[in-house]
Amino acid sequence: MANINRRRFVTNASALTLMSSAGILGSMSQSRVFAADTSGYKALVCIFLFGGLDHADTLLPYDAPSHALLRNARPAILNRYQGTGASREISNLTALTPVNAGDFGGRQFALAPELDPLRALFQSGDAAIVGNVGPLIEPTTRTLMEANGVELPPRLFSHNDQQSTWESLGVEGEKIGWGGKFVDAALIADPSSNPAFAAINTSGNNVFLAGNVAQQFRVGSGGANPIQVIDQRSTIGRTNEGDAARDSFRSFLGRTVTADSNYFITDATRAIGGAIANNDIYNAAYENAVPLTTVFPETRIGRQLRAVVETIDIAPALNVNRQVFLVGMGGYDTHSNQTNSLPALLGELAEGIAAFSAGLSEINRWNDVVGFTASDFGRTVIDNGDGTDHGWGAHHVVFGGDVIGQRIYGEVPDLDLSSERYTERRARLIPSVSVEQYAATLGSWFGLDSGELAAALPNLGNFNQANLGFLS
Amino acid sequence: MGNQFRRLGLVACVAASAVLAACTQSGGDSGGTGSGGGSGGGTGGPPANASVTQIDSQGEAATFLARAAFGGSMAQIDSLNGGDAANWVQSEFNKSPTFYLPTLIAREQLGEDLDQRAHSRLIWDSFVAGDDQLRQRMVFALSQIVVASDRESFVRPLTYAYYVDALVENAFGNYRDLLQDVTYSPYMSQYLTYFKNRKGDPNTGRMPDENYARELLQLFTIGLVELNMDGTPRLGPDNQPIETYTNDDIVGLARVFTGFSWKADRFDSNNGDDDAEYSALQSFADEHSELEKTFLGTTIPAGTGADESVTLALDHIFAHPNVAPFVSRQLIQRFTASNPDPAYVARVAAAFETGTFVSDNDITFGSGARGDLRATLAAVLLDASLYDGSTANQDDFGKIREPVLRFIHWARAFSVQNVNSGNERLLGDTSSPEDRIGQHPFRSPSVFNFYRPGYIAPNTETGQRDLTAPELQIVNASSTIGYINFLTDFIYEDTNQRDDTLETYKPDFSAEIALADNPAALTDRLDILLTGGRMSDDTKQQIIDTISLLPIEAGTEAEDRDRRVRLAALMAVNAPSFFVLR
Repeated sequence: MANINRRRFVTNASALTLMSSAGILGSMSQSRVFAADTSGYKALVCIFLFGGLDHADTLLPYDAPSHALLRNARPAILNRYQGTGASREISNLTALTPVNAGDFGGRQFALAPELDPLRALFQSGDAAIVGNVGPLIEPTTRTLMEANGVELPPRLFSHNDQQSTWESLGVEGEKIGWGGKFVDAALIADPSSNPAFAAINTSGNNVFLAGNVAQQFRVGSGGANPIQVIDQRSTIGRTNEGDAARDSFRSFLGRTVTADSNYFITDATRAIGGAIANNDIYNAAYENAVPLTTVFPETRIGRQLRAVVETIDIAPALNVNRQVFLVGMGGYDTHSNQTNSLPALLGELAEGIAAFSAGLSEINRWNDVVGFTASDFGRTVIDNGDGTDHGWGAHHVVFGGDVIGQRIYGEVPDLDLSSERYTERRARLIPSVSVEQYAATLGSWFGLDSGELAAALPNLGNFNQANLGFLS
Repeated sequence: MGNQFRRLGLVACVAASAVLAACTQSGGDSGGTGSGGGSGGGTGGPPANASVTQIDSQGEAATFLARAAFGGSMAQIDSLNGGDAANWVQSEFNKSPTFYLPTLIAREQLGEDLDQRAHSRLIWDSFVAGDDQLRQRMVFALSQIVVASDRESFVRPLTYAYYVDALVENAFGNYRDLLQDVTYSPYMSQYLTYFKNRKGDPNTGRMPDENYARELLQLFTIGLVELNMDGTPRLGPDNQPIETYTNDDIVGLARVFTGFSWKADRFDSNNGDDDAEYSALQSFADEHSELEKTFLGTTIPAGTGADESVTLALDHIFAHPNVAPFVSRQLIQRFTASNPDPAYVARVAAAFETGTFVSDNDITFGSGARGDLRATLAAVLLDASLYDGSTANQDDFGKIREPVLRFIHWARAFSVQNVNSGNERLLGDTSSPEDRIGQHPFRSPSVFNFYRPGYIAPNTETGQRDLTAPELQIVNASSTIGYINFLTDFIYEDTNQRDDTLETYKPDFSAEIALADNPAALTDRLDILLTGGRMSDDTKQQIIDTISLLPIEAGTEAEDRDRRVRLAALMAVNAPSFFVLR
């Protein structure tokens, strides 16, 4: 009871902060009732591929003319694959059979063979591809760019800034992400939900999950993470006095308030104390849960995705029914040695997603969760000898029971590098679909109404399709 | 104004005479210009003839050692107390450096099969126990700016040590030389993929790898937007920051970093000469772009050779006015302040620009050459604001200490014995936030370091005020628990050692045990050792109350006292005042 009151108070205080900082959400709170649908349970899971995914080595052309164009554009990459099993040759690919094949004329596509588990999800209708997504302010073509006739997102091609832009629609330094905004909308609509467990990362703090109400919580990939010295009597002493000292130490660690007015001290106090309290709640719920039987690969991405499924499983005990997760996977900055490193990464990714799908099915949440990929940027179609450099647009994948799958959404530009969809030098893909359209489709499914989406995604109105239609 | 004049006078005086003392008397504080910009002047400040950087208490000494070294023991604190911080810095500048490569080569020559990350154990050893503390601290700082993480699977210990030694060598040298040496280090070339990077090929369409060109500009030298000397962004007519380069600059600069490979007889040699893995990169004219290289408003003419192109390019980039504030602000963040006052940044940047810094007790630091890191570092550590009381109690001042600094401070405060990091399995990789500390020296996740200098933490007091707090980027629920558990293992001597008989990292708690019967006195001592006298009353009281619960009983006194001391130490290293240096 007292807890609920406190949460209400926190929520209201945050709304006040928003208004005072002239946030759009804040001003809206005065004019209308928040309408995010928070019925049932739903979660979004972002798999961020840090470094910049080479879209052209992920979604491959399957028809002979298109494949010839790829070879022509990046002979060094294709030749190196010849030395490692020729995995990018048509003879070693399996064609996707999208329901909307007709949208692409005679062009056919295949996923890199390491993505086979993902191809299975695609073919069964549980996954879809969204082609050529990237940060945009407004629709853009090469001609418009060269004529300076279009506003472009700042600091294109820079890792940290484009990560930040994907996550928060602003360059590094932006404080609130669209994942956090989605969570905020749900928390404001449902103040009884616990804000401590609505925005969860498994690989470190990211602006994507930062909200005004949402607090970011990190779940480790090893399950509950107790404080040994508190958990075990042996260290401080197996006596009543030792127990009293342990309790006293525990409350010392859990302090969230300090008389010191220094802002750094205040933040450190809250960070330590908050971590202690939230870990206790998480660990208690975790230890009461039935262990998953699904086997996850023992890879960094596999362990993280297991932690996500475990956390979704205990969401009722954590008192939260709208969650956004961020899972991180590094290594995609394939300037060099791409033909060795990228296939290994893609294999881990696809195997992780397959286990994720099985795990969610095991806990009956496959229809309540949507996973999607994101990445700094795509990469240059023209190679540098044994790798590729920073690009812009890239193809992404969405998966989950509610995905209207076996389809390719957005656009997959052909490999005519002189076309309007490529920059002049190095053939960097100019996005056809903005990150905000991609996000809006996810947010709409998550429960946000059009006003909340517009508030979270400021440039959405510059595009004529606010929902890409890949979710039911 | 008065200060400025005095300093100009002093530089002339030093030039004319090697006798510093004479200069101090004639050009020093006698003119009544105050001692270093403190607002107090008459009351409350140091005596008129004392230098502002004079260390007047154990707490000040401990704080200084946490800033300029990796922390210190009570003996080191007492030795500094009463002296002048500037003298300490000067003596550190004169110490001989601890290099890494010679040690590893010697070990290999003795027949040791070096572990793939043998360099990393040595780094711990030097940070914890090296005598050249300021240099090693600077090496750690530089490793977070000119980043080449050893996380990669292709790391080899001698190749990596060559890169580390470039930081050691130039830590008290010039930033321009540092850039040169780092650029030619084989590990950096592998890490940022210009190793064996070939010129473009019009037949296949192949273009040079752009990786190093981009990160050199963005992360090592000028950053993305034009800066004022105080580190704030310059704004254009549209009131927006002005970007320093375009993608065309990157494409142009990328041509410079072509044609480099091992020291070898040919470009595509697999392993190069016997000493190639720890020798400077070699250029090969055939693989170097002969096209003109246009970037940042300059053009290196077509046909310029590889080495000359690199020198011209680095000279041109280094001449950019951003370099001083860009590097200075980050150095301040590594040593003293997470969100430095722009005026402080401007003072340090001025030292970088002029290559000179004069301390309040009239020691002149630096060679006078732009980019001099002695001048820059002295300006960071000896800035009057750190000593005159003007920042110590400001709510927006302080440095959140990264986990590596906190752990090593603990180790040094209790003078750990038998520092042999190779024996400690827990130190093999401390990157995991869950069961280690979430940070390992020289092992950041990417070239973007462990955290970003511009990071502002959401939902925080600092964030609300737009204060940067890079280190908060790696503070989370996992790392908080991981750190507690990790420190518990070390404090209670329950680490995972390869050979237990070596008793590595054994803390010396004898002085604390002598105070265990008096929890208040014990806590006061920990306050000096770990928090520089800045532990809050609340924290102190809770430590006293908690350890007082543990009785000291007849017959088990030694064990009981030990129990109290270790718990008190564990609590103190989890105090917010231990996390924040100010």
